[in-house]
Formats: sequence, structure tokens, C-alpha cells
Amino acid sequence: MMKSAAAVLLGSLLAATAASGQRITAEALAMPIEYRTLFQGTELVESGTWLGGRVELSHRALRLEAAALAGSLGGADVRTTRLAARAAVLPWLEAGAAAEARRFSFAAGETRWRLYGLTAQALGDLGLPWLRGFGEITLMPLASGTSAVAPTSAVRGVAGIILAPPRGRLLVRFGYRFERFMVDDPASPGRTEQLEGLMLAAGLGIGR
Amino acid sequence: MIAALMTIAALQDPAALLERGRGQIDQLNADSAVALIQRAVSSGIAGPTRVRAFTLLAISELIRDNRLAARRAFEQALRLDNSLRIDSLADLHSDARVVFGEARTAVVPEIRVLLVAVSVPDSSLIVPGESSLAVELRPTGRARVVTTIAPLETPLDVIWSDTQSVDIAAVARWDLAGRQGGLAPDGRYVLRVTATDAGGQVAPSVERYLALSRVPVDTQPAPPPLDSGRLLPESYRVARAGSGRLIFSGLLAGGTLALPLLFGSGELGGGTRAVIAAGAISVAGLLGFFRGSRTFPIPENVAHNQQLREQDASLRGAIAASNARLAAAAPVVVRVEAAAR
Repeated sequence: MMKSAAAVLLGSLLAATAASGQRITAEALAMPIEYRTLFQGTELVESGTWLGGRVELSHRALRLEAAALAGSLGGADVRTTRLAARAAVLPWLEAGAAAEARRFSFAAGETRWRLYGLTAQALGDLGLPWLRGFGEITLMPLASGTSAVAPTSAVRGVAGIILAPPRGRLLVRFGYRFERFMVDDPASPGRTEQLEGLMLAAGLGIGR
Repeated sequence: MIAALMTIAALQDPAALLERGRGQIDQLNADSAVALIQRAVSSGIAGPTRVRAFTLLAISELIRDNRLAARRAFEQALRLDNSLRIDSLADLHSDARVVFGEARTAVVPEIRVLLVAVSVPDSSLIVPGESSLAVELRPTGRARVVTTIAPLETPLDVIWSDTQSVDIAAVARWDLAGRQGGLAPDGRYVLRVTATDAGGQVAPSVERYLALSRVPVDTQPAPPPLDSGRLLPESYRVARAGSGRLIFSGLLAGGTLALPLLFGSGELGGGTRAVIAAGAISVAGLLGFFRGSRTFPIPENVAHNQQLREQDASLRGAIAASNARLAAAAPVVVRVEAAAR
């Protein structure tokens, strides 16, 4: 029921956006990840696959982005939600703010992280109108968590390519995503965690 | 003395004489009425008063049983006004309507029925601004004659009209004026003439169907479309994308590789995925660079082509204007058609 409603809402949004001369892109994405944690001098490695979606609305120089991912990580279910607002400061450069929430659900309970920061993205064609490259960096110095083990800051980087035929609506995005979290853990001073993933997304772009 | 003078004056006033005669009729003093009314008639009254005088005289004669004199008086009145009615006076004598009817029957053949004859040349050659279509109008009596022209498709949409007071004959001249000061275009039109006399009698309207057609004039043909062979290329294309694109893809690939190195922990492994992604970005960058191209404008050729296009447009405009002038001044043949088809 919720999925149907979301589909209808997304369809309406796409139609309304196309009619008003804006642009909206909606993607479904998959990301096999590798998650490494440095705990008490030992490297723990976990892997999994996260699935989710991303919607970006463009109106003149403004970009609004919402993304959600969910998947498993070791013994926990993870859900992340990200919101970002950027403005085009140069034809190829956008800068703005981002907020991300992440929930880890364990059998024994759950932990939530919240991170806030600044983001910038470079985007440009690679010589062919249907082939573009992008790179994004997000610094999140404001972070908090609901448990004693909580992030203090984070950094995230994404880079990749976008294939979008000029007269089509389909687009494919392939890229690399890296995240590092500095974590305050009384049991393990200097704890750090980092995520690496290759993401593949496919979606539609409607509007100019 | 004054009263005597007023009485004398009243005896000289035809209207007063007539009213006094009317009073004598009401009192059935027909002889006095006849005397007073004849005196009024002989005093030179005219117009509706004279018509009324003859009508009252006829009634008076009827009261005197002089039907013949009564009929003659009615005839006199009808000759002055053939639309005369005696409805309001008919009660004064039982035979009034009968005798009036006899008089009317005798006089009607004498009443001239208003007609209008219209004469248009079967075929005329009209030069706009120099000549016009002459429509000869001949009503059977003095009348106000209205001549109108309207397209046959929309006969109520009058595009030209002429109104004249005509005694015997007159000519209305249509200079082919159409709507909004322009000339009437080729097509079929209806010429309608109506006439109305002073008595309100309306003649049956007369219609003629006209066909307008321009005499073909020698116009200049439009020049052929601008030969694309005369246009110079306005830009040139260079194979390979700009070096900036290659640098951008290189920076992206390098940045991808640098992400785990710059921001990652030296104590944690990883980075293989960054190599894969950097490789994909590099391949895409090389593909874009080698398959891409750049286009540069050639300003002097753009200016040359623009000049050619402007000359072509100017020539076309001049020819179109010249042709329009010739067409506007072209003589028009106006033919009278037998009937609307």
C-alpha cells in the first residue's frame, strides 16, 4: 500500500515537474559495500549490499536531493537517509549543505547517528554530451549518536560517471563511494570506521 | 369694434373656416358647411389641410344627398393623398365608406405606382482611382433612392452605399470601394436599389448580381530560394574534445584514487574499489576525448552569410511590394450576371 502510494506520488511529481519546466531525476541504486572498523587496534571487515533510491529536483540554480539506502551489515540492519540542498555557484560546481541519519538495528536494540555538514559537487561532460563525470565531497563535522558509541565527525566522497542519452530519459550512474567516521568509543579510543562501495544506479530524468 | 375685427379676421382664416364648416356638419347644417368649406378651399389652402377640406366637403355633400358632388370631392382628396383613409369620419354618414370606395376605385388608376429602373453596363472596365461603375437610377416619381453593394455570400454585410434624392434620373458611382478604405476584392456581389417617395411608398427593390475580376497584370516572379551553395560554412569542427575534458576526467580519476588515501585511515585496508572506479572514469574520459569533437564559429563567414540573407530578403520584399502595387492598380472587369448561382 505504501509502495503504491509512493509510486503514485512519484509519478505525479515527475509529471508536475516536467510540466513546470524544472528537472527531476529519480534513480534506483544498488551498492555492494565493504565496511571496515578499527577497534582496539584490530581491523574488522564486514560486507553487504545496500539498496535504495535517490531523487533530485533541479530548479534553476537550486538542487534538492533525497536519498535512502537500506541493507545489512554484519549482524545489523542499516538504514540511511540523506538530504542535501545545493546551489550552482559555477556552471560545473555546486555547493550546499547535507544532513544524514543512519540507523543500526541489532537484535538487542538500535543506535542512531545524525550527521550534518557541507557538500560540494563538480559535474561536467567528458567530451560527449551523453557522458558526464561527477565528483562529490561532503565534510560533516557535526555528528551525534544515541548510544555511548557515537560519531564525532565524518567525511564522504563520491565520484563516477553518468551515461544519459541526450534525447532520452534513461540515465545510468556508476561510481565509487567512500565514507569515514571518527567514532567516540570509551572502549576503543581512536576508533574509526570507513565504508567503501561501488554503486550502480539507473533511473529517469524528466524536464529540461 | 375689436370683436368685429376679430370676427372678420376669423372669416378670412382658412383653418378657422374649415373648423366652422366641421361644426356645421356636426349640426347637420350641410348647406352652411359646404359654403364655409368651399370658401376655405378657394382661399388657397394646401397640403394636408386641403385634403381635409375636400374630405369634409364630401361628407357635407353626402348630407345634402348630393352623391356625385361628394364623390368628386373624395376624388380631389385622393389625388392629393392616395393613402387617404376616412375611418374617423365614416360615422358622419352611412354612405361615406361606399362613396369613398367608388372615388378610390376611380382614382387608383391615376395613382402612380413607385418603381425604380436600374441600369448597369453589362461589362465595365474600371481602373481603380480613375473610373467607377455607373449605376443609372430612374424612379417613376421623385424618391429617395438608396444603392448598396454587398458580397453575395454575405448580402447583409454592406460594403458601400449611396443615397440620392432623385426626380427623374441619377447616376450612382461605385469606385469599387470595399471595407476599411480598401478596394473590393475579386468575387461576386449583389447591387441592391431601393426607393421611397415622400408619401412613404416603397418601390420593390431591384437587385443586380455583379462579378468582379482583376485583369491579370505582369508581376515579377519570386526569386528562387537562396542557393545554399552560395553560403559559406559558419563553423568548423575539430576532432577530439577539448583538453579541459581530458583534464577533468583525469582529476576525477585521480580524486577517486585519492579518496581512501586522503581521508581513509592508514591502519585500515581497502581501496580496490577506488581503483576500479578510477579505471572506469579514465576509460570514459578517454572515450569522450577521442570520440568527442569541438565546433568553432567562423565570424567572417557568419557575417557573409548574414549579408546574403539580408540581400535576399530585401529583394524578395521589394518584388512582393512591387507586385502588390501592380495588383492593386490592376483594372477590374465588372460583369452583370443574369442571376445568383
